[in-house]
Amino acid sequence: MDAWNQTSAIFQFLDNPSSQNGLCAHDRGPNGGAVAETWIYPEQPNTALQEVQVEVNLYYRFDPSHSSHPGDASQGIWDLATVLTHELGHCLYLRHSSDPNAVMYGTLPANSVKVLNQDDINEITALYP
Amino acid sequence: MTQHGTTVQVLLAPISLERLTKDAGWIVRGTVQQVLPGAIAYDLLTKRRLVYTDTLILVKDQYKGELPVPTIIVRSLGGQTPELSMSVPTAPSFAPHEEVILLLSKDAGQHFLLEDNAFVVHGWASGKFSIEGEQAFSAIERKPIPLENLVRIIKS
Repeated sequence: MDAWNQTSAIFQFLDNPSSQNGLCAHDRGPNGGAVAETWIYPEQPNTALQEVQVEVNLYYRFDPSHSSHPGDASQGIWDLATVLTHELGHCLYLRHSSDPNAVMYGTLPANSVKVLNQDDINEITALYP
Repeated sequence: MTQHGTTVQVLLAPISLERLTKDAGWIVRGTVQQVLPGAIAYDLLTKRRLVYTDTLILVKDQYKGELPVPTIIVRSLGGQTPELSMSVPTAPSFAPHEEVILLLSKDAGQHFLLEDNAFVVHGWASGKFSIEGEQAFSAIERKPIPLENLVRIIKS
């Protein structure tokens, strides 16, 4: 959350322990390479976000890994901070970027650590000027 | 009238065509006969309500795996019902009469069940190629690949 909060875009993520929204983790198997997914309702930007669920697929190994469900390291290891920064970008209504170096690019190789780049910052500041 | 809209964004591990081909249980060439209206189901793990869309594919050629019937169902996450709409940009979508090569599997990520003659596109939209003349277009990149080359990779 800090990565997005530190951009100059006009919004701020806040912790809300009473919220029904949040992060969950399930083992969905390979699922065609789906490392994580985010469900957003409603889908239109500039409307009040009512429900969001970020889910990581525990079939894959993350760093740090889940204590009781470490995942399959033979596929590689995904940086959890990068994955969650990407998913939180979707919670802000960002779509996938066409810049392969952006956090918001639609695929993420294993063993890859990314931080917000200029494309990510341009997109978020355009959405929340 | 559609009242609610949900988006599902999926982050994929990049998978090469060679790997997709190796991991797909079935690879077919066919034509889209019909895209059925969306249907509501409940995610098998989270019990969240979701929409899926069934597409009927008339199979003309089988490159990998055996299919019991000439017409199969390809089920994709997302779609529209009168009550609920769900957009999934990473999921493959189809148009009637479209000619396609599909890499298929039975791995629906436990989003929904699959009957015997139902499949998902393996690798989400990465496993779908639209055929236009002598070119095939990846559904996820819209980058053309000569059809001959695609078939050679698939058959190898």
